[in-house]
Amino acid sequence: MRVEATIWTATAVFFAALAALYVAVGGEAAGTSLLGIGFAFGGIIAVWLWRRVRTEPVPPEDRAAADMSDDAGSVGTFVVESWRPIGIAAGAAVALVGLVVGPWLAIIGALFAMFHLTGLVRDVR
Amino acid sequence: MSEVDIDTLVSPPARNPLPRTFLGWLTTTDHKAIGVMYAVASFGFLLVGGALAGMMRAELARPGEQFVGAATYNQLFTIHGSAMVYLFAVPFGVAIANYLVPLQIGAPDMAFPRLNALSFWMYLFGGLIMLSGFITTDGAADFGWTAYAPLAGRAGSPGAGADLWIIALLLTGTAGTMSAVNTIATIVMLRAPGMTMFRLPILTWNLLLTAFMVLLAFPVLSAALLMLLASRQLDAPIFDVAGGGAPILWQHLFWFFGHPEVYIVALPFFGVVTEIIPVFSRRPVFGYKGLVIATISISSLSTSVWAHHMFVTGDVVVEFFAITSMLIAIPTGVKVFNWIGTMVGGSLIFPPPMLFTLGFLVTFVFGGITGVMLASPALDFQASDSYFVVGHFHYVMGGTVVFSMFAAVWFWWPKVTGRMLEDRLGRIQFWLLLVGYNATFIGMHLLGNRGLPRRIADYPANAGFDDPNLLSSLGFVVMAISFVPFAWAIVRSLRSGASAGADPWHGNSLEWATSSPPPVHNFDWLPPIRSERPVFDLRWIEHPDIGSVGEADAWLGRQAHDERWFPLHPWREDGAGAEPTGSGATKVGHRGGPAGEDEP
Amino acid sequence: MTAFAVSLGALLRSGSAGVGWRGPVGLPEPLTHEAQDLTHAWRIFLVVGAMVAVFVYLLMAFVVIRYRRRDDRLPEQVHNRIPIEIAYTVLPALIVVGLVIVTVRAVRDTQHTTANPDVVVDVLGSQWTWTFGYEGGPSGDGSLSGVPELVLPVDSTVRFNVRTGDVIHSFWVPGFLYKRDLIPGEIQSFDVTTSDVTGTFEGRCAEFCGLGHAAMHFVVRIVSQDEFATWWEQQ
Repeated sequence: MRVEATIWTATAVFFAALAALYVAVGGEAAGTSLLGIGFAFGGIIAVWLWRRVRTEPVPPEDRAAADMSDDAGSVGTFVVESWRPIGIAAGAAVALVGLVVGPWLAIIGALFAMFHLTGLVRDVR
Repeated sequence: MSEVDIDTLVSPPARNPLPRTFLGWLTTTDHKAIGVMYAVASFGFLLVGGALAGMMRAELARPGEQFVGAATYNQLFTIHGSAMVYLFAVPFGVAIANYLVPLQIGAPDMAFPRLNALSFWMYLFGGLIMLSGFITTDGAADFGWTAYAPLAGRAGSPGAGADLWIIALLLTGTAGTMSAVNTIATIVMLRAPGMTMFRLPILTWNLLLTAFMVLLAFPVLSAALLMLLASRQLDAPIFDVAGGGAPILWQHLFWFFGHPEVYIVALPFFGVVTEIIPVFSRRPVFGYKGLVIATISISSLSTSVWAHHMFVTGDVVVEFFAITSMLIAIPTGVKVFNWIGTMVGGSLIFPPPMLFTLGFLVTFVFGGITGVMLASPALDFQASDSYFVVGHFHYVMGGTVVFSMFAAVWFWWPKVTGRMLEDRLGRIQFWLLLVGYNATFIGMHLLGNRGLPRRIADYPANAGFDDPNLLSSLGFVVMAISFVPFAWAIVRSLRSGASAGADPWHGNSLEWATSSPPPVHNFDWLPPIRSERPVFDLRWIEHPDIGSVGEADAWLGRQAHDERWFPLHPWREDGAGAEPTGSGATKVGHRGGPAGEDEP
Repeated sequence: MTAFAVSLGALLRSGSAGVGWRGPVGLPEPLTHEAQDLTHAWRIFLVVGAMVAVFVYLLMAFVVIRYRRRDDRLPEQVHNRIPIEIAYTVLPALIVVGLVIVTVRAVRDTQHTTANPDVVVDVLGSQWTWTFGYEGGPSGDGSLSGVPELVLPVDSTVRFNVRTGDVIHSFWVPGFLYKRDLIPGEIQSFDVTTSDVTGTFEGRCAEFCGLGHAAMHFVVRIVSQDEFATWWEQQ
């Protein structure tokens, strides 16, 4: 966790420095703001990871001599199959094509995507 | 001193765990099935993009317009570039990430399986929408894969194909972003015990850093595309001078995405060759930490070089971007020397994956050198937007992706299917591809310097453009022919290929410690992870020099005392353990302790 | 590899078959003093690039032949050699520093403007033709044959003010080794100093600009100062 946190911190610092440098050499607004966003996004994740480093014990994957049995038990719950992903994707695709073809198609697509998104959130297969 | 045969430790799965029915493929959330679908779909788009390139080479073989007119030609190069970059190169990297990241870090699946499936379907639908432009009345988009405003605006490109192109990229861009989130979450949260960050296989490192760049770059593209869509559909004057907008803004936004994009395409394939070279050299990767640092440098620097695509606009600080761009040559050079250094002192063999890796090195070094030339504004003033650039990026992006993609296919095909491909066919394919590739693209550098701009349907005769163009078209034919032995190899392997076993190449990383193809949740057991090559360590456990950091004795001692050491760490699936809400079919991945102790 | 070496050789040889390619790798004869400086930069990059390529390819060939598998023993497991790694980080860095210096110099030598240019040309690119207007003199596309013609005197400083009438174009005279994009809403200027070369040369639009992009040519005719004066009067 510590390594990841360091990487994201470095990312944030790098973008802050780069943005400053870019302003100093006379860079334009678009690039400056994008580099600034890079700093902000890197920083958000870095803060989250450092909090984890502080509050949680060193996880087995970060211990050089860890055994598999150190992490015995449930790793996670994984859905095996679901109709929701393809449903949402189809709805989104139709909705976007609707922007060109006509609002009626966009509405149909959006409703279809919403229906499946609801299903996804409610864990309906 | 003998090797441990990994195959004796692995029991093959009772059946191929990939979905067996069409509906099964539509609904699967298994990272391996999604990885396979990503690979198949992107390979399909490669064939489409290649066919479009074939039509372009037919048109350009001789001066004069003979095969397609300028209107069609403009659609061809636009969709060729878009399909190759957005629908083939990036998604094939995603395919590799999907299939291999969980296997390499000892995880049962990606962190978010349904997001993974959603990402694939958005990508597929997006790609099909882009191609559907060809069946609209005005044809597909025809402003190049860079879509410069104001040409890409409604006045310049009134057709519906342009809107479909934008929509397609919004979908595939969103898909790429979701996939990146998934990759990062998986690598950060689901590593097996002992798999520290500095024991990750280099491929996984590269995929992690690729995901970083995707998170930074793709949303910028999506934002720019929404602006373009708004200016086309709602008359938003974002890129329109008359309304107070600035056309140059598009270029800044596009290349802020577009240059990291080049490395988003390349890094997964750098990772692929870094996996392959050590295996066939029987050596650890040379300078692991140096490689990681080089990769981090490349991905960070890649975000600070975007305007080297804009040297000739007169609107950017050329020195700043020249220096940052040339700096990238340093970590890239380090990588090349690390790859060669891995081979130095090794024990090299050259089956097809290794051949394609060497082909990658040859093309990539050449493209890298022309890349340094383009990074210099002094040279770019001439080379920009000329065929020199076309030659350059086909060497870098094409060379990297095509050679390294085939290296990956030949290397991991046995793992994915459980069957071997025939070496002989691979060698034929490799030599045809190498000759065809270089014949197609080397002359383009010459064409550009002589004054041929890119994106032209026609060129004047007897102006020095005829011969290199003809050579290029002939080279394309050779390249196309090289796909025949590959197709034949695939057919033969699927019909009657020799069984691969778990570990056909004597690999290093964890994916070779499970059966081919891997079972539904990837592992029945995991070896201890004490270096970046756990399977290598296991295979050579009886060798006195192996057993990283002097732990060999401890391992051996433990094996002698503890019958359960091999295989020690069982995985099992447990549907009963989870109580999902609704009726979702759910399984729980369990990592057990020493065998027998974890049974319920 | 052989085919590659042959084609590499063909690339590095100058375009002997053609007419105007006196420079390396097909580069045209430089028409301006700036182009001469830029050709010089090209040469340096080409020599360095060729040296790097030859070094890396020979190294690869050596390694591939020398370290073929001869027996089934496990070779020594070398994880790193820090001095070598430092060496091959520093070496590319030095090359890059050198090339940056060459670049910055070439840019500085070619990207300056003079106070009093001899000729000022207003270049207007629009889909899909060129119009050249001379400050205090003739304007129009100046063409007799239907191809727009840009007439310039030898040994003179020429200022180009480039602008576009519609989408982005790029004003490119390969013999200048230089191009400049025409961005809507902007008028950009750059200066060149013509050398003593006379003749008729090609100019093109380099930025894709739609259906007629491939045919958006013009002709650059560089004439003696006397001829230029005569032409100026006639217009």
